[in-house]
Amino acid sequence: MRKIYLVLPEKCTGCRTCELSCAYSHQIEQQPGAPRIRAYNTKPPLEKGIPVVCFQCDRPACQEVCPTKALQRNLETGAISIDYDRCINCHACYAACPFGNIHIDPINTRVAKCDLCGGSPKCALFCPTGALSYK
Amino acid sequence: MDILINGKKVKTRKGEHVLEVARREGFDIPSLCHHAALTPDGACRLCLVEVEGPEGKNKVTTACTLEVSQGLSVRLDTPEVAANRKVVLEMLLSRVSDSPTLLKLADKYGLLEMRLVPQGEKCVLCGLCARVCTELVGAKALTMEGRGTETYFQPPFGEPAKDCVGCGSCAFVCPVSCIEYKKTDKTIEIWGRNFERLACTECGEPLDLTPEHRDLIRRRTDLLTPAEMQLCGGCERRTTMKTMQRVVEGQQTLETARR
Amino acid sequence: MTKFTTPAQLTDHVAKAKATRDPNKIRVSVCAGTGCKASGADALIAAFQAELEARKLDVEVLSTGCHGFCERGPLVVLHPSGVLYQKVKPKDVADILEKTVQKGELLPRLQYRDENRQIFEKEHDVPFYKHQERIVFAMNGHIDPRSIDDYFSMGGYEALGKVVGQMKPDQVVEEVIASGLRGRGGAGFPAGWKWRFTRQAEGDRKYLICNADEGDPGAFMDRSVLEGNPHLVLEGMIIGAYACGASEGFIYVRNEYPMAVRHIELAIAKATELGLLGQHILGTDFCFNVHVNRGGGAFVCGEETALIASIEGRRGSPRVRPPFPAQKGLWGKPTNINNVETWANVPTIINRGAAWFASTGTGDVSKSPLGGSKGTKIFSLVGKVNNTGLVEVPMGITLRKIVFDIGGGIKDSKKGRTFKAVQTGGPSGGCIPDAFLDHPVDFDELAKLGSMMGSGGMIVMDDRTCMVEVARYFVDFLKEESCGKCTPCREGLRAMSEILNRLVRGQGRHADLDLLEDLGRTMKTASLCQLGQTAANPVLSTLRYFRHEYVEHVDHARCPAGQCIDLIEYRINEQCTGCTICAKKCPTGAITGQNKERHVLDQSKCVRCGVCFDVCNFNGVSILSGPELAGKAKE
Repeated sequence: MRKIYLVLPEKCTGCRTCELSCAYSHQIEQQPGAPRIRAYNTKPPLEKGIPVVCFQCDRPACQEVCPTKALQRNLETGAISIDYDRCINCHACYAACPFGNIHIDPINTRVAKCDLCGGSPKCALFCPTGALSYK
Repeated sequence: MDILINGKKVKTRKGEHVLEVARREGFDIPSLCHHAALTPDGACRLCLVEVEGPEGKNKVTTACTLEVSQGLSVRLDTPEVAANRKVVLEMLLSRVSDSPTLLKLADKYGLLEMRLVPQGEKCVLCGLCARVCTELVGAKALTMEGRGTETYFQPPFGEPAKDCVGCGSCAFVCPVSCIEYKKTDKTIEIWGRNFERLACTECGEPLDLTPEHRDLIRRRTDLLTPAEMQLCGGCERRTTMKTMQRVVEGQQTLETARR
Repeated sequence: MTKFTTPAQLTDHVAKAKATRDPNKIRVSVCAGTGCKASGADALIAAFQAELEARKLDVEVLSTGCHGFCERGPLVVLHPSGVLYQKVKPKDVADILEKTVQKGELLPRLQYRDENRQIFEKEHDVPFYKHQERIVFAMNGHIDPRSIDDYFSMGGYEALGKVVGQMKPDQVVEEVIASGLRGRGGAGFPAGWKWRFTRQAEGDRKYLICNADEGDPGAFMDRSVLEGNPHLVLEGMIIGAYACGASEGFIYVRNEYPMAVRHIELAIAKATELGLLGQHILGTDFCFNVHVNRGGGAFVCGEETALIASIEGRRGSPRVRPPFPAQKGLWGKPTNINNVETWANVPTIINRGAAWFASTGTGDVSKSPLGGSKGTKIFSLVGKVNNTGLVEVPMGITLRKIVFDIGGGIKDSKKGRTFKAVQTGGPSGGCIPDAFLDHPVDFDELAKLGSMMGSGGMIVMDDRTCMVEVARYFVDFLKEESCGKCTPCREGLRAMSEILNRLVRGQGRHADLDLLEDLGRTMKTASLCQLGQTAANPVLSTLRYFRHEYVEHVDHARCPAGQCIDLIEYRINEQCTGCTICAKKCPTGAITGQNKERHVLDQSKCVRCGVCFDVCNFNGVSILSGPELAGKAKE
């Protein structure tokens, strides 16, 4: 049975540990990449927050506009991930995602998105409140 | 089916080519004109490998175009492969003498002597820019003009690219970074064209998007409106966040939030 | 004439046309091939027509395709006597009709003489023709290429009637395989195998292509076949379409062959009119249409995948094979592509049988067509021979026979010129020296010698031909024609051109020769298409057999053949008789001298055009090169 990546915004405090763990687990030559999840602190100080992360849509706009079929669903995790061998960095996916969940990685100036870390999402692992979980 | 690469048995699927298979297995084969999303072109001739044939009659060929077949056995670094690859590299370097990409390859494959007259060109004629533009992006703004050593990958007649949308994919895939893609706050310049650089309608941050590219992307799906596309990631996320907040606070149901 | 609606109608018609052709009718066959047209054949034909009208003679003047003996055009052959007249002018017409046709008197001034001034009266006795075996060219001198009736009267379309009426497509394929017919375009791949692959390939429609992009410098065989007997090629294609299951055919002709285009278009129109092309050919389910595509001036479009790209409207760049055109060709469909001469052999094979064809030529093709070279091959014999033109010879004939018996030996041999080499296969081929003159000409033998059959170019070279210059010429040609897609061909040819152009100017370096070989090896191994793979052949073969010439150029800035302009000097020697011909012909006035006194050549005015050397009948001009020249230091 496929695991489910569950986001419970009620539990989020906006601490942004998810962002940190995401950035560091996607390092390129020891530089942290852009995080593919953003946590917004809605009631400071760290009382309430909202995490915004890729919804792995059933009908992904990013996949539909990609000219190289670089965005494909991983059948085990259910996540849409970018095949960088195919990606031509045209930014169509960035323009297409209505939720802003395609990011531009400034280090490599290439696009990036949440791919559930291939099956063990670090954000869920490190989230202190259980707002993010993968079971 | 299984094939042999340097004597090692590797798994392959029908229709694959030796280049992708070898790289997947960790073998190193250089190439310039190969791209995973394009059909193999066999233009640069760097990815040479030796196919073992009957009675010791081996054949040197390009790995990118070599389809896997039952009983196929290839060797990657035979003397024949190494010698020919060095000459191909030498030829490429004579064309573009100062390319870091080529110089690195020369180092790696033991090319020590440059015997040919340097040509002072910038482009290695791999063709990736035109193929990507034609086969993937669909703008078809670039073509292979001229013939022989006077070949140029450029817009037709070398004039400002009529059909270009300013997406910059060509510059990205170029293995020697010889395509100029210049971004200013208000413009994107490439191939003699000066495109309007769209800005986020919310916060005004310049986007990597031109009106032409936006229209081209829209034609690939019915999911998008022009207005939606002209927002930066940050503003879109904030909107998403606000919607989620309203749902959490009971001000909106999940159904209405889901458009 | 109305459309044929059954194969039997066609067969009957051809039989009747053959029977009613009067072998005793007096015909004046005037060669109107491109070569003779350039020498005035049109005016000649007009003169004959006018004279015949005036004299009211029952004689037919026939405007035909190329006879082959291009050196001696305009050519006139009288039938049925077979008398051959050469270099005929309109002012000779009256005499020919009055004296030869009406009274049987010959005109020696128009007859062919060999080097020893011996006259040959009849066409088939002339050595140039005697040693040939004209099968593809059989009809060339006997029919007007614009007339389908002429073609019928000589048995044309008999094979088509037999194929559609009595044979199944598979049978036709097997017949062509059994004949051993190998492609005449250069590669020599068995035609029948290609047909079989195309027939067996999966596809909802299949195409046929005739490659008439003949691009080798000096080659004009396909031109003369298409111009002189277009129906022969067409019939071969229709039979091929029937065998392969093709519904549409394309003839890709170089745009530089306007007469060929005109004649083949006329042939297509006529054949369509009579139901030999188009829908329901001869009343059967077999449908086949043929279109003519004109090339845009690119040698590389003779390569089959580049040709296909060109027909598709794309840039003429070859693509990787596999997949081969038989599987995925024109517009992705199974496509069989053959050369003009290959198609032209098909009707004869059907008429006379595969067994007959397989019994000709060399080798044994009972197990595989690659076991030998069968049939004939047309060569364009050009260069330093006395008899230049198109020759059709049986496979297995020796080079010596072609050059000396048919070609009449080396031009100016009396002035001391000797045979040096023969270049075969055009820019993809190599030079063969005199040691191999007794080798048979066939696909495999020529390849063993480091050359190839190619499409049939045969350039004879004498002792005054510099082999380094020959290599430079071909490399420069290929450099301009390389499509530029792949690195080894594009950059290899550029580098070779740079080196060879230095060599002929005496600016060679020691490392140049090894570099040429190194480049050549990679071009051969790593190029994408056969243009690149064979591009090094002229260089490699001349290096193999004439390395000493290269070494002389590099080490001593000397051109042993006396051809490289930057390395030679002309001087008048003691054998000069003062005849003043050279002084009169010299374009710059560099030669001065009194009548009957040894002349003097002013080097400062000399542009080394060589005219003085050519016109001197006393060997009074010497060509010096190398260290013996004063003041010519090597860089």
